[in-house]
Order: sequence, then C-alpha cells, then structure tokens
Amino acid sequence: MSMKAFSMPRLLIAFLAAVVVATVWGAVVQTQFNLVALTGIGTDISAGVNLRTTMRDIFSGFTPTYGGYVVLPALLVAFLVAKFVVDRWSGSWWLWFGLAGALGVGLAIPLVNYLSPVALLVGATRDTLCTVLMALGGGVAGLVFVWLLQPARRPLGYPAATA
Amino acid sequence: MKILSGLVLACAVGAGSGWSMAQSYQIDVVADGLEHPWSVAFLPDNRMLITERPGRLRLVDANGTLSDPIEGMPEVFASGQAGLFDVLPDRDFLTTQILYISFAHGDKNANHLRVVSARFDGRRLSDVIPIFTAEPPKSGDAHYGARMAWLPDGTLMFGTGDGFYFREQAQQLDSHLAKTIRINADGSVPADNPFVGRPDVRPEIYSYGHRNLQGLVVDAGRGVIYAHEHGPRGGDELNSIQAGRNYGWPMISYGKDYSRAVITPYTELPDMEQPLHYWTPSIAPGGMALYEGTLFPQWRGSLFVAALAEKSIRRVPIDGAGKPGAQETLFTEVDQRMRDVRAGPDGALYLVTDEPEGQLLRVTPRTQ
Repeated sequence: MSMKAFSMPRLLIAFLAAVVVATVWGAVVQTQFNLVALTGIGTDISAGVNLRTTMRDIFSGFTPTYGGYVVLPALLVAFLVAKFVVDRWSGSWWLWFGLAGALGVGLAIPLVNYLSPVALLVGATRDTLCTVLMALGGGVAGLVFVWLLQPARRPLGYPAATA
Repeated sequence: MKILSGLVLACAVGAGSGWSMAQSYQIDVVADGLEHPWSVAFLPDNRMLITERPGRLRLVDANGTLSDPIEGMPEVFASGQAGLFDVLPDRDFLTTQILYISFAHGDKNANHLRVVSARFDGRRLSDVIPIFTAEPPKSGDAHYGARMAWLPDGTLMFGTGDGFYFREQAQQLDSHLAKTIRINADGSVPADNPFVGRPDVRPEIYSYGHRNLQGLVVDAGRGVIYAHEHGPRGGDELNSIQAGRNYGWPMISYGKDYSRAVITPYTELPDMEQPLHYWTPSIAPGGMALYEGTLFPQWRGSLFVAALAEKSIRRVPIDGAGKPGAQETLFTEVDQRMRDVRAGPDGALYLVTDEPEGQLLRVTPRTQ
C-alpha cells in the first residue's frame, strides 16, 4: 500500500481522526488518574461525577491543549517516521504505525512537560503509568489511521480502485 | 537614589480608596542587580536585609548600598523554585541579634523546607541552629511556601508547599507538606497547637489543605491571620487562617490543571474552608503586607499582594468585618514580576521584583 495512492483530503481525514482518537483516549485516561488520586484521600467521586468530569475534560480546555501541543505534532512526526520505515524496509503498516503512534505520544508527553514553564503541563503524568496508558492511545491512533486508509471494498463486478 | 517614575498617577478604583486623579506616587530604586530577590526585612538601625534565591543574604543601608553576601549562611539547595526564601528578625532583635531564615535544604532527590535561627552581628551569621525541617523529604524543586510571620503571642508561623507532585499530602496530617506551621522560636511545639496529642499527626501543623503558601500577614488589630497561596491554573486564594481548619486542596479548588484538565470537580465540600477571595486567572501571589503607615493614609488597613504573573501589586481593602473589597491594581508600569511587598517603618511601601536583575523599590508620595 503506498500513500501516493491516497488523495490529500483522505490522508487529512485519516490523520485528523487519529489525532482525535489519541486525544480523547488521553483525556479519559488522565481524568481517571486525577479522580483516583482524589478518592485515595477520601473524596467521594460517584459514577455520575466521574462521567461529568470526563466529559468536561474531553469537551473543554484539556482536549485542545493536549491535542494541539502533544498529540498532533507527535503523530505527525511518528507517522512520517513510520512511512519512511515501511517504504524502506516494508513490513506491516499496522505494526509500524501502531508502534510509531505509541512511541510518539509516549515521548512527546515528557518532552512537552520538560519544555513547559511549569513543573508539569499534564499534571496526571506525574504518574508514569498514566503516561504509558496515554501513549497507548497513540498506538490506537496509528491503527485507526491505517484502517481509514485501507482500500474500500467494491461491490461484486466492479473493478478495484487503482493505486 | 534613582527615580524610576516621577509622574505616575494612582487611579482610584472601587469604593473607599479615596484617591483622586490628582494623587500621585513615585517609585525609587533602592537597590538593583539582585538575582531573584525573595524577601526584604527591616532592622532597627534603618538597614534592610534582602535575600537572593540562589542563596545570598545581603544588607542594604539607608543609601541603598548593597553589601557583599553575608558570610555564615547555611548551604541552600538552589534549583528551579528552590533556594533561599524569607528572612525575619527576632521580635527583640536589638537584644538578641537573632534572625530566622527559611530555605530549601537537601538535593533534587530529597529536599525539605528548613528554618534556622542564626545570630547576626552586623557582618556575619553564627550559631546557626535548624529549628524546623519539613518532613517527609520530597523530590523536585517546586512549591516550598516559606513565608514567615510572628504571631502576637511570640510564636512563629510559616507556610509550606505541596512540592507540586505531592498535592495529596496537603490532606495528610502525618506530613508537613502544604500546611501552615506554628512553632515556638526555639523550634519546640506550642502546647496549644490544634493537633497536639493526636497520634500520627505532626504537632507543628496549624492548618492544612494548602497548596503553596507564600503570603502571610498577621493583623493583630483585627485578630486575623491572612494568607495567600498559589492555585494551579486559576484559583489563587486569599484565606483567613484558623487553627485546625482544612483549606481543601486538592479536594476543592477554583483552579484547573495547567493543561486545563479538571483537578477536582469540587469547589466546595463540607468542613472545608472557603477563601475570602480567589483570583482566576491567576495573578501568582508571591508576598503580602498590611499597610498601617502614615505616608498613604488612604491605604491604611489595606492588604497589598505582590503578583508575579500579573506583574503588579494588588491593593485589597479590608472592611470592618475583615472581608476584602474591590481591588486596585498598582505599579504595573514597573513591568516586573513582583515577589514581595512590605510596609516599611518609614511608611513607604517596599517592592521586591523577581527578575534575574531584580530590584528593591521604594514607593512614596510624589514630591512636588
């Protein structure tokens, strides 16, 4: 499969979908870590409060911050590297884009934290496990990206789209 | 003495300030070339002491002449926000010659807020005695609190910070982190501290649930201890400190994570104190003073809050019930991060700017 077979709009849609997936995944993960930290000191967090807080993080300020400063640049670099690898050495797109997405986000989080003027931009990532689990969202994003670029299935009798 | 601004008009904002547009002040540079100065203190002989965060304590005479670093300082852990913080003369300094100094002690893997007493003969420190070391040790180099004040009963109070990464310890009474601490001048614990006698509780704790408390003013006339602390993204607070009370961090907050994520879904919970005022967006309050001088009679009784991020001084008038009124934003023309503000014995306001080339400034009525 070559990326040259895809139109720019299709690539953009796939990339943006990957960014959204990784961003929302990360938002949900870090919300849970913040809430678990509160329950650990005796704060009552009901399922309803958990859900509302998670929705707040997804639909308000965290998403553009995390998506814009961490996920988008991380996946852009990661997917370019993955493309280079599959072009040069072939191999499974699923494997390389998934791995690149996970590594990209996993490295971008501590890098952005380090570059941030405050001690941590994403406070929940003071727990390394949170960073790892947020990075998995980058891996899922890589898989989503590849899935959206798969050739479309054609009805019987119609020729496949040419690359 | 350099004149920074000779024609700055004070604007009257809010009820009760009483300033007309014809009023004015002037800001003079008392000393400059200071590396991230943190605190200024006044000695009985009209000299001042000023701390520089990298670990230097200096004298400033009435002419603004800066001394060499005073010898005998204990070793300071200086990194990030960590360093030398506050200096406070003994209430009977004329007789005792004792200073109290707060600073970060240790290394990046294990450090504490420490307070020492030391004898100062005018030239160097001696008899340096640690009277408090925050436990447990923490890693990192952020959030130490460190502002000190004398209570009318002769005990010493100061704030500590949560170390940024350890915010849950604000709610843990077996930790000194993120608390107000009250001790006797020799480091012993006052018998009437609110948690004395409780097992597994640090007896030095006076109040808890704070984040990074850097402003502390005792208003003996009103019988109120005012303190301010940094919030995260938003939610800086001005509080009235009462014995044994929980100020809620991180279970309640008006601030968010720096990423704009929710730290806590709650701004109020039972048995947790509400702030007198909170600032969102953050102004990053670094120091505070109560003005009771005579040079600015319209400012008497007001709190002044030094704002790092806002690069200003906030005047907070206090009403008869001890509640804050509409604020006035002052001295923004200096355009420097404001770390400390003090009411001098001469009635002037003194400002300390947190810059690599920081300054000690004096605010007085504009001379005609």
